Amino acid sequence: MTRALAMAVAVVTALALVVGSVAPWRSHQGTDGRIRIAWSARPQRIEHCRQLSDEELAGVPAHMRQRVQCEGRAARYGLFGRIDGVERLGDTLRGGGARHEGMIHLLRDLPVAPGLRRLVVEVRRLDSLDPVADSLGTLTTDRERRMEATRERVRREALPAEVRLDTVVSLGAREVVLIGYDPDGQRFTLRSDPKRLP
Amino acid sequence: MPTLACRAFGRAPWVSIPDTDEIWPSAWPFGARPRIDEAARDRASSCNRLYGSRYNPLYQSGTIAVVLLIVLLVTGLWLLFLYRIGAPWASVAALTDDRLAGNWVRGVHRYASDASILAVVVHLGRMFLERRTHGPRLLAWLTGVGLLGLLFVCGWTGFVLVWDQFGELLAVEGARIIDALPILAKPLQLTFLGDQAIPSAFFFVNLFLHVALPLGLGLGLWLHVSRVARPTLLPPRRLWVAVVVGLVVLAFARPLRIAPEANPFRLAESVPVDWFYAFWLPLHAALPPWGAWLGVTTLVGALLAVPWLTGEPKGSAEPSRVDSRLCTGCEQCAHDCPYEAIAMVARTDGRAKLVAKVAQDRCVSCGICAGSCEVSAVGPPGRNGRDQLEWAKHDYDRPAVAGRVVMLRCAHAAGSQASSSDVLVTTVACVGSVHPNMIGAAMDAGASGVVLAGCPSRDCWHREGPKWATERVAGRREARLPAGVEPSRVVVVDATDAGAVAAAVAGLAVERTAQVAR
Ligand code: HEM
Ligand code: SF4
Ligand code: SF4
Repeated sequence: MTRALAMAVAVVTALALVVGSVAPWRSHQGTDGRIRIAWSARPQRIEHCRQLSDEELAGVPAHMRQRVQCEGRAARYGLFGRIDGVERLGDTLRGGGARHEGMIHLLRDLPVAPGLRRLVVEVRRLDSLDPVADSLGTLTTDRERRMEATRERVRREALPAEVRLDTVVSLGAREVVLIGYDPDGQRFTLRSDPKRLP
Repeated sequence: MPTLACRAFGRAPWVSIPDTDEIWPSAWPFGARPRIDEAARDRASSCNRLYGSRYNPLYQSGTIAVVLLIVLLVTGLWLLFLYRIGAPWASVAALTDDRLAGNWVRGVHRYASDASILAVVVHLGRMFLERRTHGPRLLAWLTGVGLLGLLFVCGWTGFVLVWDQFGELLAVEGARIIDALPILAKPLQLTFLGDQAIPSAFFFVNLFLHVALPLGLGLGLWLHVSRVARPTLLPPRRLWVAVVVGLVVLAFARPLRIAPEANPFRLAESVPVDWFYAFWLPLHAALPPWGAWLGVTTLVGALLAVPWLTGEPKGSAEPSRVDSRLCTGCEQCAHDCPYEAIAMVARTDGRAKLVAKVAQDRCVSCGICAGSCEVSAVGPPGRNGRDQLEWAKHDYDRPAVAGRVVMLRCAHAAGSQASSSDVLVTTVACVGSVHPNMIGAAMDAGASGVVLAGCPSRDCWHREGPKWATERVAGRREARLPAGVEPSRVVVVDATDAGAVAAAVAGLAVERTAQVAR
């Protein structure tokens, strides 16, 4: 009797092990798909640059001498999204880091019923930029020219004043459509399951 | 089976262990102090009835966890050969299809990892319920919490390796948890979007962690038992063979399958989840990301605080003292102390041999050294061999003891209290702390025999009490029974085994009757 009970306890433990080891979890109930808006981009800098005079430059320690000095901050952007004309997103985007000067990283999931859906996603810069380049005189040293080129490149790669996507997608049940951002083309991209049936 | 009744002889004054209630902290913040340790011990003794104390899986949960870790190591090495970082899911799918050399090894690995969580949680629960959390066990408890965490993270990385739907779910949820802290410049979750292939560095780091964490487990285990004298690391052979065979049988009886490959563009309707490692998933899905950190810090904080919540009040046990004039330097007490609290040091009085010295901070006042010392030179104040002998001579008066069985019963041992007019029960701190001279005094007073009723030897509160008591009675260890005491009239039994206690008492009583008749 004791033996049988001992065996029974061992078998029940083994069964619990097997059952607990693989048991389904309904992680997503229903058929809703997702519009996933996820990308990273650098915000534009709003900066004021000026050239130091020779006297001013002489007052700066030698290793910190830079003729062009810029002060500024990163721009803020507004994020707007409508699905089938219904407002689903409205937010202000700021760069990462304590001073908000890093990249903007965005990850938003919008549950959406399957079917043909009209998507409008828009990002608009909320701060206006100061005119900059014109105020600078001729840059003389190599280092100054290199730094200005870097600034120019960062300006070019940054998120422009406005990016907009207006399209119709066909969303399958429990399917995810990803809206990303292409920094070279400065536009939003759409991606869905490459193995999706036509 | 005869039922035992006893005429309780009371508690010897040299038993200075606090009552169960008193063992809980004086500042127990939750109302009436619980007595769950007794309930836990009763439960464990029901398990003894099923499996015997030697194979009791509750007692062996720590050692079973060690066996499971070894199984994981061996099967993991085999799987490592077949795994490819460049094609994680495809390589696991291929080995799952290989019935002969892949599937069952994966099955054993998986079931062993689940069983190890089960074994460790049972081990933790037992340690908690029996209050084996503080004093000399403090380091074991604290490192144990770390081991549980490591085991958990190790399993997590293992599931991610497969890169099926469940692995993806764990990776994404893990990233969500990490992203809740402002440590990474780019959120980790953006790695799993599907717009770009997941960098192979991710799978490499994951595999590295899965292989490196067990090394941490090994190191942690070494620390875990470093303050436990003579730790038992493996269960008896029959038990570990049963565990390994059981895992192989399960792996064949329920072959593992592989879930569909991870796909960030599809929300799986249902995911095959391993609940031993992912029991928190439904809760986490419903909580904000910082909820996980709150939960983990609360749980870990509570576990780490347990020793201070359940510890005995400071100063409740006075450490042992050595009478250096009597100590002959035989070293027996240093060998027997279950907490490695005694060291042999050079004498300062010019005599040749070494002398025993007790480390005050390590000694828990179990009294086992008192039972070891032939010359009664060591023991907690008022409880060394001489004190015991004095008490016994005074209290075991002939009319009360003559013809009866004297039972020296451990205060920590569970089991029903024996009661019979034939038995005199004296409660002692540990059967290992009883000096043979005390047994001699009981026999001198005319006792028909002495029963030392202690914890099951795998479950001794002071780890080695019944083991040393058995060896002393058998004459294999100092201190030995006094000349004239018949070893067959002294029996060491497991107090939780009512049948064995009754049989021991009955045997000694019968022997006495036969002697009287002769
Ligand atoms: C991988 C996980 C673990 C393994 C393999 C393990 C294994 C062991 C082993 C082999 C022993 C020695 C047993 C003996 O000789 O009596 C032991 C003792 C101990 N373990 Fe663990 N353990 C683990 C986790 C834990 C956890 C999570 C806790 C509690 C938080 C814990 C608390 C203790 C305590 C307090 C002792 C001392 C027992 C005593 O002195 O009676 N262990 N463990
Ligand atoms: S057992 Fe007694 S005599 Fe031997 S070393 Fe210890 S104290 Fe000294
Ligand atoms: S009472 Fe003796 S055996 Fe027990 S811990 Fe102290 S020194 Fe060690």
